[in-house]
Amino acid sequence: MTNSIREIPVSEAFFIIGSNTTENHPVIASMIKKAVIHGGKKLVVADPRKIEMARYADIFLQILPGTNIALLNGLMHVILREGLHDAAYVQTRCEGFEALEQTLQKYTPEYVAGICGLADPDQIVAAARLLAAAKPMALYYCMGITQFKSGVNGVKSVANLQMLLGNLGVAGGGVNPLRGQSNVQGACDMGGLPNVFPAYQPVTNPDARKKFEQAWGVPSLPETPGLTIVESLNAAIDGKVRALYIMGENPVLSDPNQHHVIEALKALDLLIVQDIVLTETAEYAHVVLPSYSFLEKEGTVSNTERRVQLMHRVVEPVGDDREDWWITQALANRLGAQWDYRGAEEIFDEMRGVTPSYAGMTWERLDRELLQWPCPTEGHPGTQFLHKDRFARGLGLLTPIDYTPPAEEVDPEYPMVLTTGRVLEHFHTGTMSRNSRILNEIVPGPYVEIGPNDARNIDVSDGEIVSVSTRRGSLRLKAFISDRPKANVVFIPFHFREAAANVLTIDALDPACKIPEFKVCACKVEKVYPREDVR
Amino acid sequence: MIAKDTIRSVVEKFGSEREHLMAILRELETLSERNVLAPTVLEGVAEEMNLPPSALAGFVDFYTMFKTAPRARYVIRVCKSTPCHTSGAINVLEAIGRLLGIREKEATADGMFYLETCECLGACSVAPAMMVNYDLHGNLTEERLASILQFYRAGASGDGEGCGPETSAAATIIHDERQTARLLAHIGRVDPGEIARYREAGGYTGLRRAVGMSPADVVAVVKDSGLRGRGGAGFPAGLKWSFVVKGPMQKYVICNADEGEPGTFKDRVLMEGDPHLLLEGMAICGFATDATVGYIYVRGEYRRSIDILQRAIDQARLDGCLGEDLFGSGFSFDVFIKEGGGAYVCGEETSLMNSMEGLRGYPRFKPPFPGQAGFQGSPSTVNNVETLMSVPMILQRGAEWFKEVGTLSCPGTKLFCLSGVLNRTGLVELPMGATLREIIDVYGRGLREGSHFKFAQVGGSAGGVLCEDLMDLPLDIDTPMKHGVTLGSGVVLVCDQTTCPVDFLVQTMSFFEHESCGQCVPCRVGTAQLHHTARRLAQRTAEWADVEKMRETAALMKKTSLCALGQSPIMPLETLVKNFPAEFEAHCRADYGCAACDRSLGRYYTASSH
Amino acid sequence: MATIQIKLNGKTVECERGQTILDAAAAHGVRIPTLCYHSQISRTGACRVCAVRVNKTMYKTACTEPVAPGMDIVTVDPEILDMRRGILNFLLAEGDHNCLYCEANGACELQSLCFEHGIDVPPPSSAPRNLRVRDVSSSEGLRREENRCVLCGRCVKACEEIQLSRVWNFAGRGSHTHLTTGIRDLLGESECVQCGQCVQLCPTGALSFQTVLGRGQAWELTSRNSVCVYCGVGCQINFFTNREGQLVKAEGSIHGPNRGHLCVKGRFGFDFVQSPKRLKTPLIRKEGQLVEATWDEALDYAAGRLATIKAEHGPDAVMSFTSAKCTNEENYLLQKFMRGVIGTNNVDHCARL
Repeated sequence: MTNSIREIPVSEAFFIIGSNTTENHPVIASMIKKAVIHGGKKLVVADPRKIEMARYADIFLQILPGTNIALLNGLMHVILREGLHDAAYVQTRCEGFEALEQTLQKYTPEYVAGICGLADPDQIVAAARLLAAAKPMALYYCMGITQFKSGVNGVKSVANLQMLLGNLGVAGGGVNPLRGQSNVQGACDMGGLPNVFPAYQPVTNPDARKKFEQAWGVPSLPETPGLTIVESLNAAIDGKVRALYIMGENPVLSDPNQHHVIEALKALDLLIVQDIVLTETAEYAHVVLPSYSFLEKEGTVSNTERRVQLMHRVVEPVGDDREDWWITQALANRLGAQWDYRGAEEIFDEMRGVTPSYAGMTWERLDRELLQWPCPTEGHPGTQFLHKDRFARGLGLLTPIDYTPPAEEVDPEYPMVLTTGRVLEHFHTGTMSRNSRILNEIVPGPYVEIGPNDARNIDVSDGEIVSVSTRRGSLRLKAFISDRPKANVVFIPFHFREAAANVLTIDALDPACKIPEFKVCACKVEKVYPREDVR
Repeated sequence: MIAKDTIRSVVEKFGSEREHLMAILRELETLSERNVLAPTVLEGVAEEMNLPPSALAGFVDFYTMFKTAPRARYVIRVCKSTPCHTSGAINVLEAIGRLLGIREKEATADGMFYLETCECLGACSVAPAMMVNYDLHGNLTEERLASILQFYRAGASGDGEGCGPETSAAATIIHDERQTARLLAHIGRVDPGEIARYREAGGYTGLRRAVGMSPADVVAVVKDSGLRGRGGAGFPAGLKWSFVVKGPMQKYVICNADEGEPGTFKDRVLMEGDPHLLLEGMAICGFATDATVGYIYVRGEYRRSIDILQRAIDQARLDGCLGEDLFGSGFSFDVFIKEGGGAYVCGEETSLMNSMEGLRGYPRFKPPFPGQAGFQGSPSTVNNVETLMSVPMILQRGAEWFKEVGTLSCPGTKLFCLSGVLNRTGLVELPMGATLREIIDVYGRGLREGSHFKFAQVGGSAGGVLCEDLMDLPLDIDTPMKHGVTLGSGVVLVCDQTTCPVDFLVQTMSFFEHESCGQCVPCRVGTAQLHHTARRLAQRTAEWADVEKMRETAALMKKTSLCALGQSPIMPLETLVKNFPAEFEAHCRADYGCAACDRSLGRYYTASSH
Repeated sequence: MATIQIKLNGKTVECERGQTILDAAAAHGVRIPTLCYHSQISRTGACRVCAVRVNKTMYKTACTEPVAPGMDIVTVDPEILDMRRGILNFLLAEGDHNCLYCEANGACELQSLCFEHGIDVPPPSSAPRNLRVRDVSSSEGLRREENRCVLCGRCVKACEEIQLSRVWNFAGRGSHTHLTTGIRDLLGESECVQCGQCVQLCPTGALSFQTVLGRGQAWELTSRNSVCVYCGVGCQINFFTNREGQLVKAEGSIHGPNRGHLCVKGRFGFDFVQSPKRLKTPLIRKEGQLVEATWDEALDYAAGRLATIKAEHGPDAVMSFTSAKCTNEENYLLQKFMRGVIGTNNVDHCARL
């Protein structure tokens, strides 16, 4: 997030797009609900499903999956057409306006409504006016923007909108991606990415390499960016990747096109899985290394608003488990390194020496202060919101983005759209939540959410079994009839190994950042008739 | 079964904002033809209005006029407040039992009638009284009941138009030249249904004069007049108006017409007898406090008042007495009606505003006062009907004229609601400071034959009782306070030797328990304990220590309750115990015989009033 | 903020205009007992426990009454204590407050207040108890035992002002007042999302977590703070463990970005930590089966194979997935391992999933 959670009361309006906030980030959702319901703040929601947030929205835009960019362009078209943008801000703080303006020309409300499946183009006009009138307006998004083959463009588009409206670099505004994992922010900050060192220092930059070579005492570091997860799985099938060391992930359930993932894992010469339980992925491992759970660990995590927080040991470890860093160190030392970290704090201190945005943080400070990066020195108070006065690159770049349809569009054979996501009570692959009694009692198993008309068309009632098929696979699950999905769209939560949604999803990737297109593919839904003799 | 489409159209008709909830539910209840709000209907309303189901459940459960289980085509509500109780409400229940074969909370097999009891209906001068749906009937005897029931069997609608003639405004006021008829001047003489008649009689000239002055000058005139609130607390009206926060925000005038104090019927008579006088008073208040919108919160039982007021509002709008730019002054003012749902506590001004907002009628803590943050958080001036109706004449004739009658600290006139064992009952207007003796002897024409004066309850259930020794006490706002009683809303309920003070106490405490909102601890628990102990006394199973305990409880409630309701029981309790110690002591003896208590403790009153 | 002078228990002190008596007193080290008041919700002023004497004759609730210049406030004296005892006795008469079989025993604000005020045997109730709803099984996570309810309204406001699900409201009236979750009035059938905020704010045992009963009493529990492992909000949680080290309950910490709030996962989602499914030793695949091994065996095997593959196919034949569930330190170290020890940039994690 460019901005902070505690700024929610400051925002005059909210635009939530591609985020089922009440289920995926419930605590933030409650804060926004409070601002809207009790504070009279404005709310615009865009989502293919009539999610809970839509109930409180002044305007709800129920768009087809994969049409965010068209909608965003449509909103910006209206904003420019009516002169509602923050011209002074655009002029002094941004560049690329003319090219953007050019691109936006064809995105009239009528054109956009057609792409997005909106019956009333005036809704787009009304939303644009509302969002432009309220300042500061905060934009919140989640995987409903990014998990498309045009995911990076989606992110650029939301930034375009917020720059046009002058909502970046101000308290209560911002482009606010809601991170879905407790430390996904930190994992990125720490260089858990194929192209960057910690703090996003590019591996292709010789100075950065030199810095880390010196800090780590190694003669040379590799200069070409590595593979992303999905690429590496393809490479495994091709025999180019032979060994895979997985720390605390479960790609068999979390990655698209499950059959393909399993094929890749089976092709490996060595699969090391380090986890707290025997996950679906660990079942294919050659070595399984048991690690501490978060409640047994000490260490830091970074949340969605760049706030770094200390975790403390709450329970004693079980069995002969070890901390993840201990295991990594033990492997490193067996491969010739001479590491001697005695605790996580020592690693943190080394890390902040090479990570400018964390340089000013110490565990001692974190224990008593609210610190958000960048925090470059020990006297620095941290940064509540980014891009104040200037952008990291100087001027904010407005990027012309055109709408492109999803990789797989509906056709007579696969006439419906499948989208996937999470539910409130469960999390990701269920490793944690499905092993928690009460959560599992509340939502015990998989289902497919389908609209009442679509259900009627295939003669299915609530609770009956249907099969959902795509070009990659097929699942049988219970139908849950709900007025939430848009017509012709079905939704499957992906937490359940017994009906893993990623058997169905497509592994089309965004060309820039390689994010899979989980949020949209073509499918068909059919009623499963019980066999006569079973009756 | 009410269809979803019906719910949608009703919500659309009134508006989906929460403040319209009461009106929406009332309409749906009427449409049900069984006087019911079925759970499915409530769920439908919750969905349509985007309210949580708990809000609907909590709301409906607070207002006693609503029920979620089917009743019948006609709901018969028999009043059991003290004026009706002492006039034989039990006889009415028994008579209905004989005529229809039903007891309280039962319906006739044909689904025509459902019987329940309720608190004061504002027809105390013709007690015992009852309401059939929204039609008010008084002077009930078995023969009258038979013909009334026949009237509904024949298909009368019960929408308020079928009220008994004895309950009309003109029939309720005491016609006696000796009184000082200011507020009552028009009633029975000027047709309340025609604005033209009101204007011919000099109506709206007070408003016309006001809008030609500055708002500050209007406030000054009202201050000068010494007009004090007639709802019970007696706060100076002009001062209250001057406390309203200044600024560009929306402000409101709210008329408190939630008349519910047992024994009080003056506001009903005023609204039904001279509705334009109220509208004019509100408009003047609006001008003085920079408010452009007025609300009249009328208790839900007063359907006829609501209809008459609505007709008056419609006419006033057409006639340019309400609306934009009144009399070319640039001042705009309009009035809307909000209904209550059967909750005495909503007469408390902050409860009233919560109720107007579609919430449970819980009082709010003060500060902030309504003049700072009232209805919907906006500055609001809340005054009683009688107070607001005194304003036009002050503007018309001046503060000095107003002060010509009354006492020094409480100028003007006061309406007294006479009920009980008098030869003449009804509404009478006298200068502040009139004595009980004058009221009873002159205007009540003395006690009925065979009745001997025992006590008079003055000020309603929240007031105290006066005996012979205080017969010459000037009844204004301040003097009675010094003697442990209160003028309150102007109730004068006269009781004779047949009334048992313990029985009277039980009814009074039953009223408080029933009407306590339940928000604050002392009132919620205290009213229940007082009622229960009073009943044990009536059953002759209590001891004197229990009486002392009651006094302690009431004293604690007085100190710690959030609003006036919980502070009220102490006054009737203390004055009854003080005046009738022997009877209270006698009730502490198991062998003491008390016919009145025995009768009350009989079948109809054994069940809790809920 | 303008400063004004008031008299607090006989002493002249300064406080801020607009402050409540409660806050002003607290700022001067004077604690006034409260029950319906809670710092995370708006003021109610309904329990009347915090009533103090103002200007010699008036009684005002300290949690709602703002200070005014020259105000003379007495927060405690025999008469005020009597008044508070009277209110506590009202509450004891109204509900079923038997600490013997109550989950809140030892963590109950009513219990503390009664103890503090020296409540002996409460006088027998003069009114019959109105039995209220016992709804202990309709919800998977929350228990409701309304006979222990003091109707303070904290749960109503927790849901209305913090969670915004607006599940609770009061129903009935007067002595028949009770809680409701809606027309059918079962928590399990309401729109409750089991965030548990109402339980966290409940001052008595009226609302409790299903996980608590039978698993240790309040004073046996130890609380430690950490950060939730689910989504990226980073809620701080106070975890309570019993003497056996079992996790019993979780409460939101006021110091985190969550400001005391949690969702259903943060409240109930931690059984996995102490699940029997947890791995306890390393495993190595032998003849197609994963079998238990020592750390040395497992690490030697893994390191040996990595070394061989790196030697035979180059460092880029090794890939690593770091974890958005692990700490910064662990992620840092793993990428350092891949880049500095193995010699490849093949590091990625599930940021996109």
